[in-house]
Amino acid sequence: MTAYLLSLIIFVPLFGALIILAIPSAAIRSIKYLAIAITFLQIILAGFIYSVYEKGPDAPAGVHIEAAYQLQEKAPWINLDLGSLGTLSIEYFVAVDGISITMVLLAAIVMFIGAISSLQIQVKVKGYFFLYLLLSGTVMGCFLALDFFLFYLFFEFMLLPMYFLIGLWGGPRREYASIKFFLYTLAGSIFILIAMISLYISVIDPAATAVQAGLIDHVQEATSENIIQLQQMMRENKIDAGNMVHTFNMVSMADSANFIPGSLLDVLNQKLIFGNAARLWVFLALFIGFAIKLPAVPLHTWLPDAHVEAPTPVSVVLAGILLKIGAYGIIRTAFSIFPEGAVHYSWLIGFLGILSIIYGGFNALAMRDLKKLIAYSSVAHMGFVLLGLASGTAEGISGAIYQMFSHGIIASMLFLIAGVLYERTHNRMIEDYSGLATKMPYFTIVVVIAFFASLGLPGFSGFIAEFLIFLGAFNAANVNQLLPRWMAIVATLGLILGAAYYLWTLQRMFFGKYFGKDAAWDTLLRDLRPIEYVMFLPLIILTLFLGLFPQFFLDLVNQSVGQLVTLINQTGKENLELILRHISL
Amino acid sequence: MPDVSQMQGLTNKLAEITASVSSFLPEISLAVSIIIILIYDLITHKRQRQYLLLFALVALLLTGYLTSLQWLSASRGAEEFLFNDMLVLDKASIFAKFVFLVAGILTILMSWPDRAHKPMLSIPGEQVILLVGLVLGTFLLCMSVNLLMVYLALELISLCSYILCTMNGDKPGSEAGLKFILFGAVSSAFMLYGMSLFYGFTGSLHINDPSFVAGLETIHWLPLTVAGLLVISGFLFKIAAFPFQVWAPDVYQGSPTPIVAFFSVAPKIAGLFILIRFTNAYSFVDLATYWQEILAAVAILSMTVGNFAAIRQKNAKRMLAYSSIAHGGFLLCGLVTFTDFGLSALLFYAAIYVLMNFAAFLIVMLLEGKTHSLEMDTFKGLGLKFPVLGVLTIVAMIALTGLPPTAGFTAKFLIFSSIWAAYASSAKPILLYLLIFGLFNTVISLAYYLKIPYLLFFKESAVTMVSDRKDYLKNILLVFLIIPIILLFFKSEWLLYIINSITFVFQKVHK
Repeated sequence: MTAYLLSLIIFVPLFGALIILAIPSAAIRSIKYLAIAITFLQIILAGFIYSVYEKGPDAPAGVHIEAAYQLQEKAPWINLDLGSLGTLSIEYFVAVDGISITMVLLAAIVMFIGAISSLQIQVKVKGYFFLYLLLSGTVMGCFLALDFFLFYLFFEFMLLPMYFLIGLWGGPRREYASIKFFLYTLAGSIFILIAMISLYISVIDPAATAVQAGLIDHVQEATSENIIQLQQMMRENKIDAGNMVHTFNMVSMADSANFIPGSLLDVLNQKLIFGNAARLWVFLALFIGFAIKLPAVPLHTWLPDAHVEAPTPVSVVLAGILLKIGAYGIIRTAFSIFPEGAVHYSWLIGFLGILSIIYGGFNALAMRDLKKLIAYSSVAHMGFVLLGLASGTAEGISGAIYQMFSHGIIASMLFLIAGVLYERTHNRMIEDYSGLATKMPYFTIVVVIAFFASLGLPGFSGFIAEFLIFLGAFNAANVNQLLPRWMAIVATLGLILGAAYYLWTLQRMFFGKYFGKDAAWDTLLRDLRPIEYVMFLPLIILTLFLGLFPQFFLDLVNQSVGQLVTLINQTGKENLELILRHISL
Repeated sequence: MPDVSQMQGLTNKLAEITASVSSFLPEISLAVSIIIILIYDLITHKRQRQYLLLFALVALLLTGYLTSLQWLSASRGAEEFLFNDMLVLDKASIFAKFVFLVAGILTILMSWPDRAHKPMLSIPGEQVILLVGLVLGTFLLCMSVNLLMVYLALELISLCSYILCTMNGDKPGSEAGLKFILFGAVSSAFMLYGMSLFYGFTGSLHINDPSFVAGLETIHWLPLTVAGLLVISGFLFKIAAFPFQVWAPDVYQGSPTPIVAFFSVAPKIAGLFILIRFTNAYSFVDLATYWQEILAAVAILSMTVGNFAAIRQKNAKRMLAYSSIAHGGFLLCGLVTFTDFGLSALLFYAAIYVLMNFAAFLIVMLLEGKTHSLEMDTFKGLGLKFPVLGVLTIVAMIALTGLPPTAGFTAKFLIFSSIWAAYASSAKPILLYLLIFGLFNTVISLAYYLKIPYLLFFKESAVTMVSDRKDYLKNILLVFLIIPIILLFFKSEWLLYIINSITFVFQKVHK
């Protein structure tokens, strides 16, 4: 059973999508319940993955060591003969480590909540849930794939369901928003594509190449000595180019000994492209590609449009999961494959982080549309993720992953809140409401909890995340000199901004005397319905739980983060030294 | 096979010609079919004309059988030069012939009259004959290694095309035909002048002949470049590459859709083939350094001009015309790398491009059948009315853009990979620019390829008069085009395995 657990969680929703196609479109109820059942099955599978995942200080933790990934599934998929370049092997390779398992859990939870929230969808129900389940499977695939080609397939394929979900079920300007979303993300994935191509041409799979070179008979026999021997032979140019097996395996890419000597991305390569090392360019390409998805200012402009126009459940999925794929991609590819880039460009990454925090915060303060405010607060919160990653410290990176999870939960709540209002009155303008607390007391309690969680009040998950990020960002100046201290200080302004826009919104919309722009709203503005409690309660419990017992989450990621930090601070710095010797920047 | 360079006697030449005939059966079968169809068309009543298409289909299938026999013998290593080195029969040309045959068969199936639709019954016999003639022309062009033969094959294609594009008999068709002839005649004249210069330089017309290459080595680079550019302009005209793309939009708009689908594929690939043969013969002279730059610039400009012009189009066929100009640029990228990997990528791209482009034109034809208009605005809301057609449209369009999970992605992926690999080994900046522009153009192209699915699904239907005609043949054909597009993404090695066994024979090996 555990052998195919990861494939199940990816393909069960895809299979479910096919079943939905077979159900007649008039059977709306069965389509909706089937979709909820399948997303619930995903939660069970995710829970099962969590329970079999080995935790604790000695558990294998992945990142750049292939053997340390858990629940591995590997099968050959495409083998292309590239003539004089050797062969190209694309594998179906999925596995989890401490970083991806958190994202899988998050995705399962948010997808389920989103499916419940999708019950309100009334038109073209069949198409909607077909696309929704398609999205749900590809998102899981994105977090689990360790073969770059497979990852890219899921990453790109995600765009189509999202495009149609926004474009067909969205608000008045949905067409503009969906095209903008598609074009921006595609522009980002083109950067990722070029990075992927340059990587596979430079990287070999040592075990498969050893088979080709005649060192061993079968891939499974490869021992670490074989691999070191082969890497040594390749350094000495003893391997014929035609025998090299180029790979998309991200973990092989993370080992600089697997880069073909003399190839552009070899650490010792001295050729420069436009005055900069190829490795640093490719790091930037990956970073920009994922920063669009994240999104980081100034590449964020698609986000407010997409969020405002998307229907509530799609906004929830977009903010709750899809943005995390941007951050996850940066960790999994850019940081793990090119740790020297993380060192060299830490200043840039940190700067974009604080830019997003400050710019997002000020914009949120100025927004009159509640959903736009939440969208900009997402930009600010993802800025914290960048800041934590840039610090290159254990606290900072754990904080960044914590923030990814926590923001996934909290942003889902926030967009559901905007959805609750919009569903009742079809109006989200902050100034059109006042004193909602008297009309909808329980809803107000939920809003207060969500807002306080989001602005980082102690006791909620957001606090732990931001606390760790600040700890890392302040410490970086002492530990590894990756970030100047002023960046952390400026970022604290973001906390104040967050408090300002949330508290101000609370005051304007919920407190004081009741006022609604339209008299008809009196009857429309009813308090939460049971189904809405079902959506909010698990999210509230989770954010409180993670705020009170951070150990529960940190135990899961600590090993992997530790490995990543060593990778950045040791391998990264060594590589950077080798590379920079040839550059006079 | 007798060795021509030593024995110049007339009898030997005749002997070689007779010997070559057995390797020329597919072309002979096409030529004989043309005559039979012509006679049948003359002696029978107009009502029986639909049998013409059936004849042509059988002729192409028979040719396909003969071509596959050639493939089998070529697989045993029997690559040969025919008719005193006029033509070369290598695996690459046989592969191209299969591509042209598929294109020809698809064109015939697309023009198949459907019962409910009366005007289609009157497909003129000339159209069928000229189509087979066009296939014959592309067959000859992809094998040609003699400049005179190149010219003959190219003109055969051109003459058939000129008439075919006016087949609708309406004003836009005549205008397109006239433009086509004028541009075609000028580029032919350029090419012929260039060829005469080459003959003057070397005293030979065989581009694969060592004496031809040796003769070029003594020539100053300036006249050589001028002559080369003149010759290449004729090829670029067939590829519809910048700056010889001007004819394409009008011709595409004015001609019958199945014919346009053929135009956009077969002559383009045939033109690429002769360009490959010509430039690779050239590279023996070690002049490839700036030829690479010139052709890269042509590729970049074709992609960029085609894509930017396509964004503004309102007519579906015009949009596809500009899209095919851009794809011509992508195909050129594979050639520009001047590596084996690049040529494999090009062949893969060409094969997928046939499927994608025919699918796109078929979709336009089906949509046109529903709204009786080619203006894209009239397609609004049709995707919701015909969901299956809508979904197939999405697949075709994302394949043309080059997104997974379609073979269109694999094709672009291989092209970009070949450019990067060539750049990594040669470090020529032009290749990096080519890569950057290629990637940039992929994003641009999304903007207009997405327009049709966007209109199909996101807009409410504005036109109420929608014909509900069922055209089963075309719908099934579309499904059969889309299936391999998806399948070849997941198992691209099936096609690439064949392509990897292909070699171009550029130079005659003297025994």
